[in-house]
Amino acid sequence: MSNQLNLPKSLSAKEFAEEFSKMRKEQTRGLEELKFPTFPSQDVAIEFKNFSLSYGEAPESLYNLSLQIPRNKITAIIGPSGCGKSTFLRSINRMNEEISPVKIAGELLVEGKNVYSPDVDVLQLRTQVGMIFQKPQPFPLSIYNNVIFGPKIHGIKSKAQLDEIVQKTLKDVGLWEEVEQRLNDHAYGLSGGQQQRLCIARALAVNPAILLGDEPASALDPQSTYQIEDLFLKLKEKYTIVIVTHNMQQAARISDYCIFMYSGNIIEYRKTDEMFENPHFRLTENYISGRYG
Amino acid sequence: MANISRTNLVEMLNDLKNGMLKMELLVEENLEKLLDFLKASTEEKMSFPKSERLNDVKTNDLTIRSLGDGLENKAVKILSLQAPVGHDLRFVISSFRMIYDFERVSRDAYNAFVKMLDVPDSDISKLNDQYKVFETSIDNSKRLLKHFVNLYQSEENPSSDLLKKTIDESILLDNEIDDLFKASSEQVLSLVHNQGLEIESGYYLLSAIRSLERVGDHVCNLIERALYIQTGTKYEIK
Repeated sequence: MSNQLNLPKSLSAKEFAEEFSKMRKEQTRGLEELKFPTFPSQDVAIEFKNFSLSYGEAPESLYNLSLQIPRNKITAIIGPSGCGKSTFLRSINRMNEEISPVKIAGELLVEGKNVYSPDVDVLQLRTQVGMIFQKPQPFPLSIYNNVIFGPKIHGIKSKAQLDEIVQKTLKDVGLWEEVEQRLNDHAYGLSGGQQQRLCIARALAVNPAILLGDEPASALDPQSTYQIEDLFLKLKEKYTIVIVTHNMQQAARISDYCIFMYSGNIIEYRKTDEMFENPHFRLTENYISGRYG
Repeated sequence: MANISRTNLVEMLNDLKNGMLKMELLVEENLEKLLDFLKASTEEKMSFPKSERLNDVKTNDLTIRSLGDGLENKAVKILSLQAPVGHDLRFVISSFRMIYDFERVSRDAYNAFVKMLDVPDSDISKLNDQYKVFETSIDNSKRLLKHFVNLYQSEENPSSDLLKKTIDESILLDNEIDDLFKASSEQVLSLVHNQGLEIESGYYLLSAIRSLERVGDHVCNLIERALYIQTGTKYEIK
């Protein structure tokens, strides 16, 4: 079984969208049109409205995306390498601009506010939308100083208050009991899984509403991976979580909703159990079943 | 974008599918033997040649059970090693239920056989009409099995025409089996009351009728599973 699209690899996201629209019926073998999930406005954490993004003068990397991401759920983004998953994720906290100048069309709302409005304070946005990367990246500081790094930048100076933040966030990520006796040790002395949980604690310390994870467990051993997955499942009670993952079983295990991207477009967006039991498009099925990648 | 065949998974799925189709063939063969048996008894008005045919059916039944055990192991291996999703997942999880239904069809056909053999020779001449009804019921189950095979071997998301035809005809065939079961049960009771059929014979016949009705139900279950595999939707045809 192939992906059966037979399209040139060099299509831009816009060109792909146009080509895919011609083959939708064949791709679904005549099923009814799939509608992306929608939510009551108070349950929407992030909303893309006809959102397109291109790097510099290049064609669009993301094209005309319209979808809502629900609050206090885990949404997984899956898709082959180069499909735009990380660009999608980084659009939410405007990290793409750290890579290259970008051109935007449409709107991207976080908690109802367009993050690309001229009046948006990007630093404040990144406080509101924390990010965890593939490889744990603690700062070359002590465990304690890693956690308080963000709060201090935001002006918290009281030692008691900072202690409280350290204890609370390390407890939230299940690290407190493991490190409470050695908070002044260097963060590099922690294991990979512990370092990743420390990075999550560092993100939580500035009290974000949303956590983004770009393959947050892919560099970890299985046990640490399960710890991070368990942690996300607990954290979703307080935070909206969006993760990019190449691990289909991880997406199936922990996410409530799943977005399948291909060539800068969202092909399918549904409840995860529905997508994994009965994918709407052949393209989705062939990807999640490992028929191409 | 590289196309990856996942040879292992495809081979394991094909192996499971071939095993399921082999089970279906054995089940069909047992229904065929039961049908031949009834035809011979009504057309030639002879008593049942008791041992040979029953042994054949029993051998098939045992083969089906052992095949089912092996197929369950294969399905477990696919789940644990290959983490299938989508159509593959539906195919594998449905196999467990289908193995059970194949085993039940086979066992119910065997039970019907055994109960008919228990009817004393002296009562057989009174049962021509009954045997015709049994033949119709088995014939319907065989036709249902054909619908199952067509669907099971069809492409994923079969045409709406094939779906409609399968569902409509399956409902009709199953309803007819249910109606035959009710009418036939009443006839047996009437034979006992009015035409001197031994109560013991009546009991054996009612048991056989019940088993044949169950055969139809289990084949309908198989069709429902095939519909689920191919469409992802759970249909009820009973």
